[in-house]
Amino acid sequence: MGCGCVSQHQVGIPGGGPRQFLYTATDKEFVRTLDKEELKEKNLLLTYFRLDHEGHFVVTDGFRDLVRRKGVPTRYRWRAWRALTGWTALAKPGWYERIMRKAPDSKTVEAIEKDLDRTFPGIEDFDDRKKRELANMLRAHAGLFPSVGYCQGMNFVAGFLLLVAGRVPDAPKDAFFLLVQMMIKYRANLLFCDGLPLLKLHTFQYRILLQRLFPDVHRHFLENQITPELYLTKPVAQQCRSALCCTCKICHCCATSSNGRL
Amino acid sequence: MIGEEDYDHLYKLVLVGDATVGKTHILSRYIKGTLPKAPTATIGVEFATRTVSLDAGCAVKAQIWDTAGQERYRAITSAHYRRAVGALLVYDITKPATFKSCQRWMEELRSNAEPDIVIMLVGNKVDLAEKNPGDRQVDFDAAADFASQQGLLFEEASAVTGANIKLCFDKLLKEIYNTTQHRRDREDDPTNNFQLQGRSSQTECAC
Repeated sequence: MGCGCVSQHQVGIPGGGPRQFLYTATDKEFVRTLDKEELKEKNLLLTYFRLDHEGHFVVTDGFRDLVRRKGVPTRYRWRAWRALTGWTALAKPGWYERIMRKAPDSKTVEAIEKDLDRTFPGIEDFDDRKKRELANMLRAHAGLFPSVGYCQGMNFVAGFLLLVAGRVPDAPKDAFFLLVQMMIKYRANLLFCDGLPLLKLHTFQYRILLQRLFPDVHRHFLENQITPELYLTKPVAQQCRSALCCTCKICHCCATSSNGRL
Repeated sequence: MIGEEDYDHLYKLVLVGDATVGKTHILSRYIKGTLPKAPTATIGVEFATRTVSLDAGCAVKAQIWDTAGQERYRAITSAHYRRAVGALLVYDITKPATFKSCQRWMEELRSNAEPDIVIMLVGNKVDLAEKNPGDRQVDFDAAADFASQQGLLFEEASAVTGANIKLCFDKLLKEIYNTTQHRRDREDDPTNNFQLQGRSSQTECAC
């Protein structure tokens, strides 16, 4: 992926760095590279292909709108997320390496280790290498934000980012910056920090909505002690691990919302 | 086998203890007879039910709430102890720290659940100590002493082999039955209302 030194706004004029896309394929050639599944959304893929400038997307209102309405095909998902979250603003040379050297306290390290084997069990792609990457990522995050540290559920969010990032050399680095962006820009840190304030807010909002819209259901749940925490905690804290496309939707929503709130 | 909806009493139980002591494994072993296929950390709260018949001849439905062990989730989980009449307080016999936390868990239970909650202390992962005696870090006697001091029931068990799991729940349910029976004899207490509620709502809220 990109070397990080070319911001997405400059890509029209190639900088001094090595050019990775010396040759630009034509629409026809691009369509030929699509597999059977991808051909089903050929037009959408072509739209993204035309917007792609040397591996980057320029974030305009039109681009946000496209993502919001049509979603991003798998092939372009990672690059679109990177562009939308303003990843490049964080990616200063040497910063990542410096953060990776920070170590959290032993209790946090232990808590992270406990959950490595309990993250996406049964998913083949999530192998030992990915687990190591996950451990590094969570440790670096906890070192960077000691007040948030590590909270269960984060392992699925970070692990999911690693899965989408794939196996390119920069994947762990990219995923880490995206996690940091999610935590700061989109307030996910409030979901996971002490007292779980954002989770409480969401469940409260949900409870009020349920009470207003479906008073009978609300009463029935109340009688049976079925609290929103019971069925909302998992989807919210793991940001919909079981429905991966749902996570993509959440990421899209938060990435495309202009005020930067979840 | 008794029908799921054919019961005399509904008891709410909670499973508490530090992270990775095996709470979800115990629950899965008791409810399904197998271990979870893809073990993940419990996030927030989950629950399952099982109806069993007691020696006294009545059927009770155990509504078992499995909680997250991580400290941070107590902000969410402790609210779910309300109206619980029994608890399984689980620790890992190979990890002394998880046994030390039991005191705190107990206080948490006593302040958030029913005041006369029946607590069963469970030392899990006995299979590890059987395989390699050096792995045992919490003595049976030490835990038994603690339990008798605090007025808890106590068993050691293994969710992996299934040893004593059913016994733990059976003992706990029986004890709850006995204590509530006493109370029922003494006065017309609010648990009766609760049971009526449980009975009238025939639809199961599966999650």
